[in-house]
Amino acid sequence: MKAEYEALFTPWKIRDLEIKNRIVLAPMGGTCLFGWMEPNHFDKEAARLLKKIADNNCGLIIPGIAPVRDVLGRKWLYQNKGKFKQLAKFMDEVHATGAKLFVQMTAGFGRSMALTEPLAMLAKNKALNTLAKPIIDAEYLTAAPSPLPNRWADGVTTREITQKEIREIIYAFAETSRLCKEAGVDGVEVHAVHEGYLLDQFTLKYTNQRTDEYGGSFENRYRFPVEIVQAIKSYCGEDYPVSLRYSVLSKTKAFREGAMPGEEYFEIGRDMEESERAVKYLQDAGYDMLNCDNGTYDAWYWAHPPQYMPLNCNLEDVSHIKKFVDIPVLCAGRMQPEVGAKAISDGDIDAMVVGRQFLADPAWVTKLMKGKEEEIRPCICCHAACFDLTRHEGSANDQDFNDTVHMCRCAVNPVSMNSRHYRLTRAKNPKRVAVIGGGIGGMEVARILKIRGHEPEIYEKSDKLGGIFIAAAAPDFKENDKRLIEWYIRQVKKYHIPVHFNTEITDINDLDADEVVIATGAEANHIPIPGAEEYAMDACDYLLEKKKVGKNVVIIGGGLTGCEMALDLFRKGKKPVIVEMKNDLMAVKNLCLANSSYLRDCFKTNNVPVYLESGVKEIGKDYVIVEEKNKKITKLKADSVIMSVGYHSTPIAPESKHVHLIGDAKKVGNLRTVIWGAWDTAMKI
Amino acid sequence: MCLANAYAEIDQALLMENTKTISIEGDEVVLKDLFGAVKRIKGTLRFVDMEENRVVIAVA
Repeated sequence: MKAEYEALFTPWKIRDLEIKNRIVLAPMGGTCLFGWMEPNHFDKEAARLLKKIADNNCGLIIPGIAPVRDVLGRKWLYQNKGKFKQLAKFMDEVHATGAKLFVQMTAGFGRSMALTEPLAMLAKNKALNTLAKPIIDAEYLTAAPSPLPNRWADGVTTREITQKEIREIIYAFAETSRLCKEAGVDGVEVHAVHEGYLLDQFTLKYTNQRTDEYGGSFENRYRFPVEIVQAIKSYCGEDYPVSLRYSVLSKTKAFREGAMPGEEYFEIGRDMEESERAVKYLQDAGYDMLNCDNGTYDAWYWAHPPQYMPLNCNLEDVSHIKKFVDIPVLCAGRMQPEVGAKAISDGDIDAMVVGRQFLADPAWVTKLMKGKEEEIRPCICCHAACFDLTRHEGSANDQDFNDTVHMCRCAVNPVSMNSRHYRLTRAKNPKRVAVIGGGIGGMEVARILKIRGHEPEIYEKSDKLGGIFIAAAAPDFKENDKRLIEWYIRQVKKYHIPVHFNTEITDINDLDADEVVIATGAEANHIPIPGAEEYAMDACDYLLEKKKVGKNVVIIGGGLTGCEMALDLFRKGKKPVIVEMKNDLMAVKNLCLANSSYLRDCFKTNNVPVYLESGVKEIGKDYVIVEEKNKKITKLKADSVIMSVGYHSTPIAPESKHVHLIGDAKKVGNLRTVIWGAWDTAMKI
Repeated sequence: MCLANAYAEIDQALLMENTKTISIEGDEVVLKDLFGAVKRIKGTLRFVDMEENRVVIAVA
């Protein structure tokens, strides 16, 4: 192991509890030991993932948020005592690995509750909500300190939470903590004065206009989290460790608008001055640890940073508030091992908190320790499967129901939180499989086939592996996408999979193989706009630098690719303009609001012009004609024009018994559909 | 400016996405999409929902 990581592997303490190393699993919604968005029970799938992480040298395991009251069925967590017996057995298994485990409980979501359309309907219709109450109470789930606009659904205003409900929640924290302690759990974490959840909404002025003792003064705004830790301590004893999930700064400019890294702005949530006071106040109230980051649901990219956010994006703010407390301070947010180790040895933070990387590769810490870093499969911060909450104009939360009830899966690692479905078994009779296309889909299907005992060979028409993902990974902020391509190329070598470069297959009958997998991807769509043929380039022309771009660049198509190119152009000092047909940018399913809101906020803050519900009517040498929603015609300067209006599949042969289509060649999707589809096919052959 | 999706009446199979123009030529419904692709379907135009951007064709 590299010397620079050594500080990560030193023990530390939370009160008297010793933790063997400085790597902590970030609490992610969906890894909860009591199930997710369903009546609480002991969740074996979550236990399987958490055990795997504990087996692979993570020091402190914190499963994601367990609502103290079930979202579905409305039972309290302290009810259904049976699960605590199963939990006790599981805790013995965890302790045998040397890891420790905290259970994180949430007081609730308030205005941050990600209402899907049906739930938004309930929240807006009192009669319907009363009818649905025994199963789900949307009004209760969104209740907040004061009447507030819901973050997701337009036209939904939360009701004020009552003092009786506050007391019930405080009791639930204390009683559930007691049962956890009895089951051998090493400590608990209170969720959360962080990310604009319910407790955070009480502490922040822009979301708390109460006039009772839970609103107004500093002490009143922080009363709810203080009473919770005091109640836990009274039930579990002073020395039972209680951590607090804490966002140092809210980084929030307005409802539904966050601050960009480095931006000078007026903070409407918690600023540094209040944060310095709050951390001391919360420590003195009884909290033994602060599990920190930044942000609220209005500034979501701080708490769930996409690749557009800087690495270690919260470290500076978290290190600053450590000076104001004596209790351990942990930091999350695209934390890199070498930077985390240095911050720990410099005494800036006490431990490094990592989440999504554990979903992409639960064994990454073991590989780091053994100096096998190049074997770590990188997380690309896409949220396409772990955190797929999607919002665009007119839709509350455009997430598939399947993704609502199964969070914390992983686009690059189908096994995470789905290990029963994605299981590899030895192939009964090995076959020779021709894989056409050396992109991510082709490499993944070949990799899985080889692991199962088949003999795959890849046929790639160009001289490189990576396919269209090479273009996708081109922007500077896509460093992890580049690492993912390199990881795949190493895997192809590691498993000795033959690759025939510069070999374009046009007729699959030329192949001598038992089975054929077609992974030839898709081709760009083109809108037949006058002048497009002559003056417009494709996204790949720009991304692969096949064509140069001038200063003013008009991008036709405000989907994810169009917006990411606009960000790349903006950061390179160009002047991008986006023209989009729909009523919002990135108006698609399966794209997390943390990712899309960064791009929308960035374009708004930096005055990148965006024309919505508009179309380009004509393209000239240095101009385009845009027709806006109200039929208004505008002429824009355009040194270059990029057409980014999606793709269509281009399979070279239809599917049949021994011919399989995967990835974009089958149906244009994203990295998740490509990789999961590769497994679906490779497991069946 | 939202384009429509065209479906077959009986099994709701998706006939075309991003449909830009619909024309009737004899016993055929001719669909043309945003990208210029053309699809000729023997059948009759049954229903168009402008708000939901939904076109239904009874395929012969």
